[in-house]
Amino acid sequence: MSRLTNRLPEWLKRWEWILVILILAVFWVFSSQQPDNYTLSKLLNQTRVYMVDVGFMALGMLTVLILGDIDISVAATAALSATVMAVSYNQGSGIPFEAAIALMLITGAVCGLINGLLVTRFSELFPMIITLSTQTLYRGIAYIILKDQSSGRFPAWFSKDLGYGAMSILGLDVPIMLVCFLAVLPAFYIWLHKTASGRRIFAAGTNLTASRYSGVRTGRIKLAVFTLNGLMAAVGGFFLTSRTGSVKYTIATGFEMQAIAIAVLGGASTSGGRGSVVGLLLALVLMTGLKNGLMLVYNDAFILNLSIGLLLILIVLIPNLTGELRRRSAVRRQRLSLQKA
Amino acid sequence: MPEQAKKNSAFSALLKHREVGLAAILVVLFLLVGLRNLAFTTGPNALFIMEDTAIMIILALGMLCVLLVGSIDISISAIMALSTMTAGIVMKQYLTITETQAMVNGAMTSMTLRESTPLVLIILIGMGVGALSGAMNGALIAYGRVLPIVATLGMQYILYGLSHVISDGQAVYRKDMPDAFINLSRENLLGLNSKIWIMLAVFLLVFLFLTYSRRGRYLYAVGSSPEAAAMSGIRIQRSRLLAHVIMGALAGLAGLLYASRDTKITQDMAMSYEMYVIAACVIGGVSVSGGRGKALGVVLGALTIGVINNALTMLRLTGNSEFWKKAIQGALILMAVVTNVLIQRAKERRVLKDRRI
Amino acid sequence: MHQEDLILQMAGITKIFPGIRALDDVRLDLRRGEIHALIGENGAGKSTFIKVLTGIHQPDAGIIRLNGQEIVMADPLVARRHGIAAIYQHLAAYPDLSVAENIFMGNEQTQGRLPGISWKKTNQEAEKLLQALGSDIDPASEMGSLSVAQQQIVEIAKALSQNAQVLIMDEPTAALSLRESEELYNIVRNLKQQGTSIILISHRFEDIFSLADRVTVLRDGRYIGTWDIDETDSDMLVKHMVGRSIDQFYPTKTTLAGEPLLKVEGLSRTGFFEDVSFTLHAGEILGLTGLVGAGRTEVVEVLSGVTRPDKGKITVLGEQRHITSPHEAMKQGLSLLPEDRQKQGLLLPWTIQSNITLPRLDLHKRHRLLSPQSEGRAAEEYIRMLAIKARSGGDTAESLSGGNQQKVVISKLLTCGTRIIIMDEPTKGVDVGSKAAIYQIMVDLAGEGYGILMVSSEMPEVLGICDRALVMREGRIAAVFTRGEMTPEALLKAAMPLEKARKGRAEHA
Repeated sequence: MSRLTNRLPEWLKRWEWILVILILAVFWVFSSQQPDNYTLSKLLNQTRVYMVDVGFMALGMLTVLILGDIDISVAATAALSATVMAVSYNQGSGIPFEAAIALMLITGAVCGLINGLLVTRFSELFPMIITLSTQTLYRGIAYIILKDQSSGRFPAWFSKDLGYGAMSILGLDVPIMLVCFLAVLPAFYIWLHKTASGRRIFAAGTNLTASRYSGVRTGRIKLAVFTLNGLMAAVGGFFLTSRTGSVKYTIATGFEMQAIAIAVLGGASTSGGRGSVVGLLLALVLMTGLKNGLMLVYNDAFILNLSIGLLLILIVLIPNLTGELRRRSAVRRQRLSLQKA
Repeated sequence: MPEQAKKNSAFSALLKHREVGLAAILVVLFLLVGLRNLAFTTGPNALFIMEDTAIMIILALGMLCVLLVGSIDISISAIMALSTMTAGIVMKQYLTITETQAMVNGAMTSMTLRESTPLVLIILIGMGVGALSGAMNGALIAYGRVLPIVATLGMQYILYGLSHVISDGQAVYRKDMPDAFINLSRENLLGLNSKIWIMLAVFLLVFLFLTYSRRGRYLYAVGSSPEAAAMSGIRIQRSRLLAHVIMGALAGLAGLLYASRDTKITQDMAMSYEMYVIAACVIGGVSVSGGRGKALGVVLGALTIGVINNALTMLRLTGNSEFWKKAIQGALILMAVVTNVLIQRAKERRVLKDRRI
Repeated sequence: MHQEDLILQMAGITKIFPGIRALDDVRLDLRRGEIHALIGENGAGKSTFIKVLTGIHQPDAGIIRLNGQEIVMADPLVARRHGIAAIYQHLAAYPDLSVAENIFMGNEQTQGRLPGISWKKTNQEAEKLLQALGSDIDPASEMGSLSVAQQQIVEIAKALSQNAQVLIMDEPTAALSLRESEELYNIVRNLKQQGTSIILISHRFEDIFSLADRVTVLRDGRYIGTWDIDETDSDMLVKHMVGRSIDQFYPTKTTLAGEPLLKVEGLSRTGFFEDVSFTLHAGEILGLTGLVGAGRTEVVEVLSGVTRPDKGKITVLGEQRHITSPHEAMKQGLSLLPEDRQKQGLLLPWTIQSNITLPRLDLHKRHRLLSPQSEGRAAEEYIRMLAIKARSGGDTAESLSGGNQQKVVISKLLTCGTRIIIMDEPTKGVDVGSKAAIYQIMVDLAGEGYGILMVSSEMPEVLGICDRALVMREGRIAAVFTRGEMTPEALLKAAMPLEKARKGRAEHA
């Protein structure tokens, strides 16, 4: 990405360092407040709750944001996919768990595909309104299937090994689901930042028309990205369920906002053409540390959400304001130089 | 040249009468369902639908203003929660309960009087907090240049959080409310419920504002073409801010009515009304990209959804229909927006055909 | 010239944008009741100048005097209040609102002492204005449903409603047919008789010589001069606009046309063009010219896969092709230099290098990953070959001048490696030096056997380097000329729908 735009590396590099500083600051503040509870090993354990499921969704969302679009239906997709998995496994005689998982992934991909088809076939419509509707639709379908009940009773290994299992790395207990997530990250990094197809996604997000004129198959890319996003949402729902052990139609509520927040915090722009996988990872670490700390201090989910909402707005607002100020001072400088001349 | 203008005005006349078409569909729907279940078409049921939908209509009229300027607001539930909670806390704080004796129907009965701050003040507080929340949304979107979806998404969580903080986890129940407030949604005047009257008043105000006032027309201008608006000297950001403030104030009002109806205020009045309200607007002919939409259309759109919801309950088509509402709402919006696109495309094709004579 | 005769005086106007001096000490004197033409090439500064006058831009230096009084045009409202109204090339209209509302936006009509807008009065007044212009547009109709010509009339009505003393018209006939242009001319002449002073910006000499009393020429943001219309002719004006005589520009082309590369038969797209047929040969530069709105860009968009045709056959090197997207077009051997290089041609925040390699990323892969070194090398080559003025391939596209940006897009085009190259207005907004370079590139390419289809609105250009020229008129090919047959008059005549005008007049008689 550093060769793509001249300006960007400095900006982004600066941004990623800011994230590192924030991470260190958060760690320092909370570990001094709660030295016993805020340790590396405890945090690693908590990544189950705060990092992995949202992380998968954020990866998908990052790709969509780079494309210049947005998908608010990811949480609903996760819920629907998990519902399909749970119900197909538990209902009646049920199907083998592996098949249920496959069905879940297919559901996620189909949800994403529907979004993609709508976005490409009806390009006059904003992805925002399309995914706003599909969000309601998907959650509604989950509601129809599951009603107000919950569905659990998964195979033991699902919750025990995946949900709560950990492996020992360098003396620390690293949750298996975290390992799964970290294994996927490099693939995304290489794909988005180092391959031709990733480059094309950035192109489409920077200028869709010019990319199309340059021979980039923008329609196909959008379909693929939205489908992938649906798939990642399903994966997120999968890990979420492994941790909680049961599925209700309301699971993952609010996760779409978190996914957007994390991607944007990591350097993605809602107008497209920008984003960083490394930044996403840093943002996830920051969020995990922040959420963990806030929960320890306040023990209140509302405060947690409030902070995240505030964070989301600030990280979008501040670059806008500084950009505006910079623009104005540049023009003022020019006027002054002209008057002197 | 004259032929083209006349032809076009015939087409646009057809589109202008969208409200008529919508009203017709509404009547037809109503009657169709009535064929299945006679209880549906009774007067009381029709009134019930109107009453039920009244709060939605108030919200939708606010959303209309926001959509007109090309923005959107998905934090309305949170605005409702915060403004209602604020008013509720004030009510609770100043509640005085007096036990008296009074002559009722010739017998001495003991009555409990619940009084608190004047109702007008409560309404002002509710709408004021709502307007302030809307102002924050508007400021972020207009001056901070934050994407409306991101701004209102974030604000949703901030506002819910604030509602939680000021309520300290406590809810406000019927016993904490003054009689005046409880009766706000229950008074009947000339046979119509107060909610309907309030809704009609709001409708009238919004209609007059949008049709006859300069600031109201500016909302249309900003949504239709921001570039042209800038050249006409219209203050675009102010219009956007105004739209969001109106939305916030109306959300506050709607929240109060809702709380009065349910006699309960909780920190997370999580109603996800956003989709219903947006659906009502879209069905009512409001364009999501701005510049088009009428108050009457919004009312009809909300009523259409209200009728469908009511019909689902009455018909018991699908077991317990409650569960289908969400999915149907989502599908409805999709269908409505897609239909709009298809109509637009057909219009353009016709214009192209007319070009080559 | 007496001071009282001047209704408007602008002097020393300078405007700077980041990286470019759009206007440099420009002046304009407008006499009362005159029609004053303002001409110049693309990028000469005409639009910026007008926006300074109407308050959209604030000048960095200079003064504006209206009726002898110095005025600061702080914003469009101020300009409007002083009676300055403008009709822009890209209409500033509200498509969703009614005609009457468009006319009176910002100038709302009230009835008596009642608060609020009176729609009855608004529609009535709009009706009056439109009728005064000889139009029967329904004031209640939706603006978006009107044709461009009708919308322009509404804009004029709007200017009238503001009691404009000075009316500015920016390329008013650009999108009009000849008949509509004639009607517009009449309206303008009437306005002049009623005492309105008019500034007319136009590329079309027909407009200027039919209407204007005097003409001012701008070039590269500078004031060149003002002449009475009787004292000048189109050659002289072109010379002033361009700064050097036409002939110096164009390299001589010696190659002859070879095999047919592209054959188009009966191509049609409803509402845009009809029954277009022609053949492009190897080594040939084929011009596609005509007035704006004739359908040339639309034809080219179909050929390059941006849009789909409704009818017709496209044959490349003997085989029929179905071109469904730009990607597909490139595979079939056609590539396009789009008309709008900033919106359609370049990814502005990206580096030169990344822009150039985008169509053929497959050329720069090493072990399935992109190789920045390979990209860098490719960029260096093009920078050298086309003499792009940049420090390195790592410069961003938006930091370049128009001419250099165009060279980057051409590099991109060459990367595609297709034998058929389509260029839509390749030298629009390009400085003189780069123009010459681009012409040389085109001739060299033709020499190597490429086939070039060039859309151009600049007559000198078409005459200069095209082997043949197709003239489009109102969606159809009106004429084909070989080099020998081409003269400016012949090209112009073919582009103008004369016959239809005669028919039109007969209808109205």
